[in-house]
Amino acid sequence: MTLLTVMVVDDSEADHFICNHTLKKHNSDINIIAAYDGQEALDILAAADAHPQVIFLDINMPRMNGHEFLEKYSEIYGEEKCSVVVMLTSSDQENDKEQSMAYKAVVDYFTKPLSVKAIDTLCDQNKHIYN
Amino acid sequence: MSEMSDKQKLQKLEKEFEEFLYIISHDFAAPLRHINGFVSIIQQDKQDQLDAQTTSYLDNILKSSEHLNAMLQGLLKLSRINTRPGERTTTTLSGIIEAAWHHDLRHFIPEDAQLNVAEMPAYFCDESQLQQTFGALLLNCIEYRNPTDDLKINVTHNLDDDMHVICIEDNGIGIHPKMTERVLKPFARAVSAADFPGLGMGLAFAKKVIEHHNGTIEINVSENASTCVIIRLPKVSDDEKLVSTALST
Repeated sequence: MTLLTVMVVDDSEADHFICNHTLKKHNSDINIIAAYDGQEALDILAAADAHPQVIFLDINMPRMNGHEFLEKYSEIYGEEKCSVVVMLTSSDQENDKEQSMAYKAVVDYFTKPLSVKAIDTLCDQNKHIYN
Repeated sequence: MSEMSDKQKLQKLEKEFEEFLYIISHDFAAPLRHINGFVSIIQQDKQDQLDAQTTSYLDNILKSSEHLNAMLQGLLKLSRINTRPGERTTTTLSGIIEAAWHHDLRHFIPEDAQLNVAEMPAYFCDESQLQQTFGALLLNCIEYRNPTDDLKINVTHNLDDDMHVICIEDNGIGIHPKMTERVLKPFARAVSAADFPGLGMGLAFAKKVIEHHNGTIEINVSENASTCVIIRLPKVSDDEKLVSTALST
């Protein structure tokens, strides 16, 4: 499976650039929506007609961090068939991992940088990611 | 409010220092990752436009930033010894050493290696930290082995007053007596990086873990140039166990 539309939530412009570069290696026509904190991501999702297939989510961000985003996102979209979330963070702390993976929407936890191999594995292991 | 005692002041300073170490190692990692990322992008996307000299420069940037990243990860590991200790349990010291060798180092053990570990009593400790410590010390024996001899490592145990004395002795390349204190500091190397690649964090990590257990570590060089790492760990009384358990719950 190939990813067609994704959202990247990260406060670092450099991380966006590097992540986008990798995503385009996976699919050169991929549509990437950028958000720079959790609140901006929620605002974009609320206004969007269709949600991205995958949300790549950082943890340490200003205004609304990744954990806070997950809490709100689950409240709003908990039972809906919506995007899956993949954590993409520099944190290798067990408590960050446990806290994130406890949410139903979160299917994987990657430490930066994102690799093409990780995206391919993600697609192979999550056939239910809707198109 | 009463003034802080010297011990409290010291504890506050240590905590601040560990937080500082964590900030350096964690927050410095992001821009470093970006340097790596952008160099990799140039290497992948502009490969056909790069001459040999530019390719070599980029390789060197990548090598240096990867080395710095490994150093930062080493500092992060060091800072976590006190800030994120594991649960203390009672387990045999020799069992911890055997686990470090047979499990943690299983991919590094040379075919000619002989490890002898004396029987040792049970000990109340942070098993994970001590296993990593013995793993680091035994890995040093492997990395600094004498290429012309079979590798022999002898781990002995004695009781000296109220201390467990563990000695890890090998027949490796040895260490200059002048360097025995210096190599216990982070990033200190007794040999050139070109001859023996490495970070110089193994002994620094071991020292911090042993001190976290109120013990000491020193390096002795014998007349035949064999190196002996001597670890002294205090015997822990049942009272201390109770206090420690209460504090950790």
